[in-house]
Amino acid sequence: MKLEYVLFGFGILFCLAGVGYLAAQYVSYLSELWQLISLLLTVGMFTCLGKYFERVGW
Amino acid sequence: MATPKTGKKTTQRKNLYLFLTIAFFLAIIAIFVFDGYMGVYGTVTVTTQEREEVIEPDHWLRDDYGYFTWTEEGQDIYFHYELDNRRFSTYSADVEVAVWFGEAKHSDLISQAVAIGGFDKEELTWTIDTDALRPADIPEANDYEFSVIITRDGVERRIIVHVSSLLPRY
Repeated sequence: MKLEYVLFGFGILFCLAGVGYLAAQYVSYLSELWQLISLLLTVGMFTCLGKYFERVGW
Repeated sequence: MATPKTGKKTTQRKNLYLFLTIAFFLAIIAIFVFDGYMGVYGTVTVTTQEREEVIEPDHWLRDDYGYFTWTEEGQDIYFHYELDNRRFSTYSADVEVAVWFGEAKHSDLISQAVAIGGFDKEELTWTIDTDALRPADIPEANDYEFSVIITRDGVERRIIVHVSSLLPRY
């Protein structure tokens, strides 16, 4: 049972790493202004996601 | 103890954060798409013999060295350079096209200032006659190469042309 959670965790980690890598590749072609806006939106997105999970009771 | 009214409010607040998360995510994707579309793009089409090759703008991101093409001696090479201004403002630049042999410039083909309105296009065309280009120091039975360098905004795009001799080699 615990092994399943570990594998599940690895799966999520690899997915996030893959998406992060692709995003980093793409972001390098963005202009500096859009990079800044994307960064702010990312911060906002994770803040709201954190708040959502906090409200859900995680 | 939470009343049904406050419970509903809490659920609404909880969903609000979820919606905001999705909205931020979609906004980031929208920026990727929007900024990827916007900009000034140059597409070169090379036509020689019965062949047409299109050099897309993103080719230069993959291969910084240049684009390689070939033809036979005596054939004309037609170049079509399309500048696509996908911006709201007018784009102004100096475009220079020249033929180079190694580090030595042979001739200027185009040298002109362009001003393209927002979401408009400009097309430049030129033709190279390979008969007139052969350097004097290269025997007629030998192949030779030259570069067509397009300079815009200080950025050079090099197209290397290999010209095959029609004479038999012994």
